[in-house]
Amino acid sequence: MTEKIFDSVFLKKIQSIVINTRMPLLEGGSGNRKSKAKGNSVEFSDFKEYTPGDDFRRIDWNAYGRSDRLYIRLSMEEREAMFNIFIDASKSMAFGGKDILSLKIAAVLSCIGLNSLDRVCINAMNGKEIYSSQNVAGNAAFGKCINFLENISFSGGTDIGSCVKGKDFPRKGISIIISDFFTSAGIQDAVKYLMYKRQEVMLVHVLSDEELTPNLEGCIKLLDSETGCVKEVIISSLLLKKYSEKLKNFINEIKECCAKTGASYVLVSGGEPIEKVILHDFKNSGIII
Amino acid sequence: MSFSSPFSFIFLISIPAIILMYILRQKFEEREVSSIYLWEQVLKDTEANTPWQKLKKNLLLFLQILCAVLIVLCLAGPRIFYRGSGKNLIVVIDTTGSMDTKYGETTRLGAAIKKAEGDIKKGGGKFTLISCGANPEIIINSADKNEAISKLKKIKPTNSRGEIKDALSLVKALESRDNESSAIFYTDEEADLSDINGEISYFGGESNNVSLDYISFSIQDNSLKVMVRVTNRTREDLHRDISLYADGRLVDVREIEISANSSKTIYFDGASKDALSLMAEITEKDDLMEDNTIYEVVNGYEKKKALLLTNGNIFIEKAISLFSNIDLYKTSDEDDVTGKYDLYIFDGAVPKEMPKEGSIVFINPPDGNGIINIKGSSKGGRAYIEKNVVTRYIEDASFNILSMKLMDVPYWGNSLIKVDDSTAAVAGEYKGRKICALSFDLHNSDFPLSTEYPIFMYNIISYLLDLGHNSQPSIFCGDNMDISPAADVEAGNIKLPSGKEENIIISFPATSFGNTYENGIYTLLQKSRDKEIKSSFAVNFPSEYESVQKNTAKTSENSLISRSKSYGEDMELPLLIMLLFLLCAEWVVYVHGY
Repeated sequence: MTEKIFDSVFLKKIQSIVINTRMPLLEGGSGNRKSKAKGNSVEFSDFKEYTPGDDFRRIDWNAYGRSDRLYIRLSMEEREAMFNIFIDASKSMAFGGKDILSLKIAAVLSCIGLNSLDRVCINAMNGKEIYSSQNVAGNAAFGKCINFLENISFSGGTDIGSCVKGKDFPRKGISIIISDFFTSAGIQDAVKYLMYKRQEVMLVHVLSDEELTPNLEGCIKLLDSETGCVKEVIISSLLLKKYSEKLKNFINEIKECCAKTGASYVLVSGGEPIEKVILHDFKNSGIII
Repeated sequence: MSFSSPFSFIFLISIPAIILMYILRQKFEEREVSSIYLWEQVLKDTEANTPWQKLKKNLLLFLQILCAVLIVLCLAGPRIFYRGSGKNLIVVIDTTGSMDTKYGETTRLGAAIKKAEGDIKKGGGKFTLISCGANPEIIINSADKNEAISKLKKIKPTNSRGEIKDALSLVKALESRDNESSAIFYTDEEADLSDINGEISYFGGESNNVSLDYISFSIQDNSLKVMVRVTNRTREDLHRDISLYADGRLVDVREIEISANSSKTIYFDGASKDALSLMAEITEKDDLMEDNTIYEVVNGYEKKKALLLTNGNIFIEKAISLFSNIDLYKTSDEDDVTGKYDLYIFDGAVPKEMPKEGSIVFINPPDGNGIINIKGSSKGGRAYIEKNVVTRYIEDASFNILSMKLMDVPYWGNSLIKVDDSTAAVAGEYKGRKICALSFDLHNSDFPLSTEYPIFMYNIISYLLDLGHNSQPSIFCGDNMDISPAADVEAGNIKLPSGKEENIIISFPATSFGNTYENGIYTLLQKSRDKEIKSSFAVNFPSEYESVQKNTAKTSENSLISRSKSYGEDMELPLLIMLLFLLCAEWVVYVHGY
């Protein structure tokens, strides 16, 4: 990414966004953290100040000795939720600000996840390959997330189904797919596969303004950025109307797929500011509250 | 439909030019998009992903091609051919003699009327019905279809000679007044319709016909020698019986063989010279019966001889020339008045010995002429014409006389012209001879310059010669017979061959009688106060004009040929209106980008 998208302004914005939001999907996960089984975990994750109701057996007395305050040791195994963010890194995502918005969404969701003491893994899908970041946890790992996101390049096509199936899901978690879903197949398979892997699935459908309302006229030779295919069209209002109908059907098909599988769906426009996307679109769709 | 400027269709090459421009115009601008995933589905649905299919779907292109076609059509000057419905129809029926020829179960005229009736029933608008016999005649000009059909059915054959082209100028004049009219000529002859909106319904073809073309006679040995000419108008040799009748009684029958397309002259002897009329007849029937009989009047035509003794008088000669049946002889020698004449005109001189027979006109008579008593000369004056049977039509007229002779009005005569108390002209019957005298030299008067002079002279000469009948012994059917009534005739009538009588109006110088459509002997009866003059004339079928095969170029017999010429309504205006709407539609399509 040549453009510096995660600048200080964005990072300030993200803090304010995260303060004001949390993901209801994580509520179930957090309930799991009260189980005894998790209290036996040895894998240190983080410290958390003791609050009434916490398992006092996990109080870190050494820390109490040093700071005179009660801290509880948190271990990774206690979290049943794994936060997987899948970013479509195809070339089509590099149009109309979809790539930037996708990365920002991923960053915000990562931050929310990390802030909720969950593990976050960012996955870039390109072709049939999937490139995953480390499973990170803790607010301090947010920088790693940002670094990973900044290194994602958008090129070629993406087979979402193959990519998702190439990922191993050892435990329950939340999977968020950010894509324009311009692919002939695989979405439903991917969602079903994720559901089979005990994932809560969220589809973030990113489309640019140009894709939502094409501003075309005359004789146009359309060049597909991913495949290099060319289509000659004479744009007329009738054709634009048909495109609009086709787009509507396309979105509805994805929504229908989500409805059938119990996945969440949110459509965002590439030109929208991240605050509006998170605080308005995501909240309206119930992904965050 | 026809086109006044068909060469304009060359501009149709603009259509491929338009298509070419559309193809050339389709320069596609390359635009990289994220994905054509959705566009592929859209194009798959519309099936508009090839250039030709794009052209097919391009409404603008088709509208522009349609506009180009309409413009070329306008330039080509299209006219829609109308026949009947909604347009004024001029029906021209040929009623000449040849239309009496047999045509199937009816005659050509019957078939023409039937066809015309059908055309009128199909039509709308106004109907002008013209019968074309000897002269074209407008029978009706009405929008009432039933009335037009009724008048059409009453059209009768005229047996007259005539040509359908005589009606062309009339039709042309009618069409010039009414652009929406068209004419149909129902005829058996060809006509050039190049200047007329119309067509010909043709009822011609070859016919089986032998005609009698000519009859004449001469008196030989107290009997008539009659000559008849027969013509075979078919393509085969024929046998015919020719009968001659005198006053309705059969005189002789001749049997002849006549070659194809040839004429033969036959002679009959034995008819009485006292016969009034002759009729020759072909016994066998053929397709045209009207020319199978021919008539001639034996004593119906008599030439009169007149002798003019003068040193030169153009006024008298001109007056005599009014009569086609008077042969005028002139002399200036008083001793040369010999021979027998019906009328003697002595202008300023008299012969030494008066002729014993014949009527006499004295003009400025010298004294001692033996008939008119001259008392001397006097200065003339204003002369007034008095009322008399001889001065009919010119009563109360006046003229000037420079000098005149004084004459007594004889006991047998009546004064015709007075100058003060003196008589300047008398007329009467003396010893069985009719005599007239003018006591002044015509050169010393302005009388010859007046309009009354020819009437006066006509009346005087008619009176003296007992003229007053037809001027020709025979005419063709449909021709006018000029009847010159005698001066004292008050009424007259003509008896047609069918027995029907028809009154005639007596007028100067001649009455024209036109109801001569029947062939046969016509009898003219003129009535005066004290007598009746009876004369006859023959009316014959004009076989030399109407019996001929008019359309020998036609090969099919009794065929009905329609020849049409483009006419009707110009279509430019409706096309231009359509073009305007199309341009509006094109604008809407362009703006809204359908």
